[in-house]
Amino acid sequence: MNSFTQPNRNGAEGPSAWSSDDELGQLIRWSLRNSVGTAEPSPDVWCRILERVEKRCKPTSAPPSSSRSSPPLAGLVQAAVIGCLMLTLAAGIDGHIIVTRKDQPVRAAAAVERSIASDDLAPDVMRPSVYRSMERQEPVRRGGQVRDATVPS
Amino acid sequence: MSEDLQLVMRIRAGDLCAFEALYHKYKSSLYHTALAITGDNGAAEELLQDCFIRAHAAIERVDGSRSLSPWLHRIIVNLSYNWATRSQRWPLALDTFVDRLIAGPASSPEYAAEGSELRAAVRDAVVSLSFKQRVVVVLFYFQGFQLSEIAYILDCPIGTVKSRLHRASRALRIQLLADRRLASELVYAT
Repeated sequence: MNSFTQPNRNGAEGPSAWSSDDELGQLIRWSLRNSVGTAEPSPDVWCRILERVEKRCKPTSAPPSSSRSSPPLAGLVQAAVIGCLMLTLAAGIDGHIIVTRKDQPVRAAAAVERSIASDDLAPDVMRPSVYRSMERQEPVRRGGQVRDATVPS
Repeated sequence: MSEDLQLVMRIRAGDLCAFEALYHKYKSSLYHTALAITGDNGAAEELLQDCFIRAHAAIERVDGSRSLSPWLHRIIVNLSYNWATRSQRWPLALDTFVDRLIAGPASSPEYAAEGSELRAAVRDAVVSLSFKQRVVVVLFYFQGFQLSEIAYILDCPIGTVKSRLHRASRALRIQLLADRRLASELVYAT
């Protein structure tokens, strides 16, 4: 009788149970070798590998460094976006303040431009700053008609 | 200095002839493993390509003092898993693999007459295994890897490899012993 018909003769848990040379192992090996074991890859495979390796090796000087630096950059951008979101959320109602603060420098810049431009005006043209200061002057109360005094004639 | 270490050092220096030598040294065993797992010639060739591309890219990090076979098998088994997950072709691969197992190239008339029933019985036994058990069976019985090497290839503890192999062996034994076709074939084959 074949020894294969008496499995676990050496004990399934013992060290010898893990030998690939037992009857079962020989049977499996024989089956696999007669089916898969005789197949070979086509000769083109090496040509394709060589082509891909050469392509990969040629631009090695530039791309690897950029590819190495891209993950940290992406992380920084991510962190910045998350930080902005957190800040916005944390600000909550104060979001309006942030908006007005952002607007302020823009107005300041525009005012500077206007003042510079006003220096170039002809002497007979009323300067905007002078005009504005005249607007702000308190009207002289004469019988309570305050609004009529502010309207330029 | 081992042959693999010499090849690794030459490849690191940019020697493509050494890389070709490495390919020819391991292409067959890697291809057989991929073919056994995927059951698809084209897929096995693609995996072989990808395996060597990855190996070339990671050659700086490999420990060349040891055999490169477990390392390369680890790459190709991982690629096979990815391929199977991506294409979701396990059932097809199983069927195809089993077909290959019995209807292999060794199909001369006398060979077929002698071993067809035995191979059919082994096919039925193998088809009953889960995929993970089959991978372990291929690596252990067919490729002859040690348990520790299979654990490294599959990135799992040795105990897991042992349990998979134990279950696979038990299932194969039970199925083969219960198969009436083997009553005469086993005696004749040995």
